[in-house]
Amino acid sequence: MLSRHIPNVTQVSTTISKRTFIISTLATLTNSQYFKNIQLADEIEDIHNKLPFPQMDEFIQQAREPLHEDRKFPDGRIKLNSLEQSSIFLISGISALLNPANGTHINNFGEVSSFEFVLKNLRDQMLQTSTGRSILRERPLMNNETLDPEWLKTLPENSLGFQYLKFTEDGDSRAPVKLIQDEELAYVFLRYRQTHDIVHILTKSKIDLAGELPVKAFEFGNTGLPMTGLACFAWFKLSDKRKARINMFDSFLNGLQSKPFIGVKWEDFMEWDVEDVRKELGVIPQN
Amino acid sequence: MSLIFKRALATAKSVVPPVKTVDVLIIGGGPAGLTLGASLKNSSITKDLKIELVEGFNLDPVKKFYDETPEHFTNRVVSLTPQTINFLEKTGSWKFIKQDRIQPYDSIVVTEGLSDAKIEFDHHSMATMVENVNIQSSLYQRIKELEQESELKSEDFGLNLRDNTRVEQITKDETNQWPVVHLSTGEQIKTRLLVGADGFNSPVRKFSGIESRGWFYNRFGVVATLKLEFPVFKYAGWQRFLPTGPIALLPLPDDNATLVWSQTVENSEMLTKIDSEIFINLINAAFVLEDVDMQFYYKQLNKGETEGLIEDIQWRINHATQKYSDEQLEENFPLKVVSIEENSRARFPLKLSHADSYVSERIALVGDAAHTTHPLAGQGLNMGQMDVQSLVGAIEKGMQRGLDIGNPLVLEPYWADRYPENHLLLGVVDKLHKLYSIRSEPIVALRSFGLKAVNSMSLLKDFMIGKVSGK
Repeated sequence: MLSRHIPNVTQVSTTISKRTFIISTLATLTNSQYFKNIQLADEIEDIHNKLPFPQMDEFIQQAREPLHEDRKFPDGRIKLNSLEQSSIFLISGISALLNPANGTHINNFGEVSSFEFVLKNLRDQMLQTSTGRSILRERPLMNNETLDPEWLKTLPENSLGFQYLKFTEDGDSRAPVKLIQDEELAYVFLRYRQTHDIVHILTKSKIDLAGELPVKAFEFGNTGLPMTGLACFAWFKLSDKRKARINMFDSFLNGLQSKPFIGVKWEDFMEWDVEDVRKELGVIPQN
Repeated sequence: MSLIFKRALATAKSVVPPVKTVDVLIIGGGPAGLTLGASLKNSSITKDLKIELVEGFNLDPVKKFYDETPEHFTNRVVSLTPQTINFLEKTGSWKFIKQDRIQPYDSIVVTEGLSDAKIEFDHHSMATMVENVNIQSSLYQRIKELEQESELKSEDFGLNLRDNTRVEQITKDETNQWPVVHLSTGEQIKTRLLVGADGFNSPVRKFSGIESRGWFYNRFGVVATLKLEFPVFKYAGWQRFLPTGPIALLPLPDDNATLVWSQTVENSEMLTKIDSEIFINLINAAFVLEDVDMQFYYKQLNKGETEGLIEDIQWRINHATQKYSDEQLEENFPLKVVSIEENSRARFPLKLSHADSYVSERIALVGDAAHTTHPLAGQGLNMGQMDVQSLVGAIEKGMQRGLDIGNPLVLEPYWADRYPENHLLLGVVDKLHKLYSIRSEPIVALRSFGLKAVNSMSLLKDFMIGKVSGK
């Protein structure tokens, strides 16, 4: 798939010109949205700054330059206004469809399509249990520092920790969250992202397309994130033979009836036998 | 045989005490009953009526309050509207209110727990927080003053106050059908007009056969007297509608405040029992945090798990407030509660009730005996005061026309005057309670939109303040 797209230089340049077209159309659309907002009288000065047109120029200019420091949050996330968010939503969405192998677009789309109410819903699931609350409070990261590979290696082969190590050895798919505006919700999304490999292990799914699809269906059932739901449509692109092999609906139900993964402290389960973890969380392995 | 019979009759006769006859017998020495007594004596038309007031509890704290004012604030505090204060001024009792223990406030900020909707009512001295006992004491002092001014002997003054006296039974006199009240002291009082100011379980209403209709809200009001982190600069009332019921923090002088928190039965019991440090943190949380946090805390506390709870609450409060500037914090949240007056926590069941009628032959009901309401609008006591004002007016008119004041013809104008107004207020408060108990998202969105819309219409808001404060 990669090879089909990368050498085609002309196609890349046309997408760029198309993007500017999309931006200006969006600008007009969003403009009409902006004027609907009723602002308080004492914010009139601010309105001037909030008009989309001067900002559009700024946006286009900044898109070509490296980001200025005050356009970033201290933790490296990028400050976006709603216009920028909706632009990225459209552009990355379309690009991800055209070029599913490009991880950047998929990551970006995953972030901007996780609307605040979806992430709040996930966060509320965490806030309902003591474990979930402690995760939100301590904000542990699942990386090589917190989960020492040397230690994971010593665990039995059937343990979640050992399996996890096997899965993450190939490469780090856990990119930092860049586009989610609320810092707590950004962590929630990061936690979801870091859980992804564990879903693979618990559902016994590989990392090829045939394995990725049921995982997405599972995640959609478990988290309700729109991106995971949209990704399920890739099923229609499969050949009939493969379609028959992958039961998306079962995976979706499986995700729905398992305990919410977002509130699970995986760090505490590393020494557990994978089968026991499945039982604890109510996951039925596929195949 | 006949000798024995005569003997028995003689014994019986000597045991039955003489029946005292009065014009007005008021049952209940709460604010409504005392106000009625004081204003009847204050009126030039009705001042010669012979009045008896009977209270079941001990009125010593009320009698002593004026001269030996306690240091701490009591937990039964009410919000008086300008209309009520105006009436108390006319009665002549307001000057006996301990002014250093009352707190007028100029605005009330109302928010809700499921959205960021907010409405703010601003009006100079829109209401005044006063302790119940302060009101009672001022009325008692006024009655004493009237007695002195009349220069009559106390038994001729015609307003006899007796406390620690319960009503055992109410019967009808056989000859003229006047009510006869049998007291726990063994005495009997026959009265031209019997006024029930005796609260929700009114014996007078039961005797009269007037039906009262309504329902329990399945909620309790938790009250407490609190101290804030520092004295308030701008006196305001704060109310937040949580799905479990509204919480209100109302100002008392300096750094004092009073709490009314409507809660489910289970939570209210828990709130009166938990450690006071947790209680304080929970109040602060209730004004800031989201429903999901509060539900978690209730769940933990009902299970008795308190470990790390205070740290958790403070973490969430910090997290929720860190994005605000100091100025915004002041605008959106009340000052932090730092301590609680010992033993000031109490709870009472919330209900709606409305009597079918306030009057019948020789009977009148005022205050809670006639109607009870959810405290979310702070209207219960004010409604009772307006009842008294109206009843006194009706009695004055009846006397000027030379009518018997126990006659329904005299009393009915009072009912006709007050019933529709009280009914409207009870209904509005009831609907507000029900509207804000709903968690369904579309309804939350609609009501938040409605609240924000009302907040932007200052004319409508002025009208509403006018209605509630009686200006």
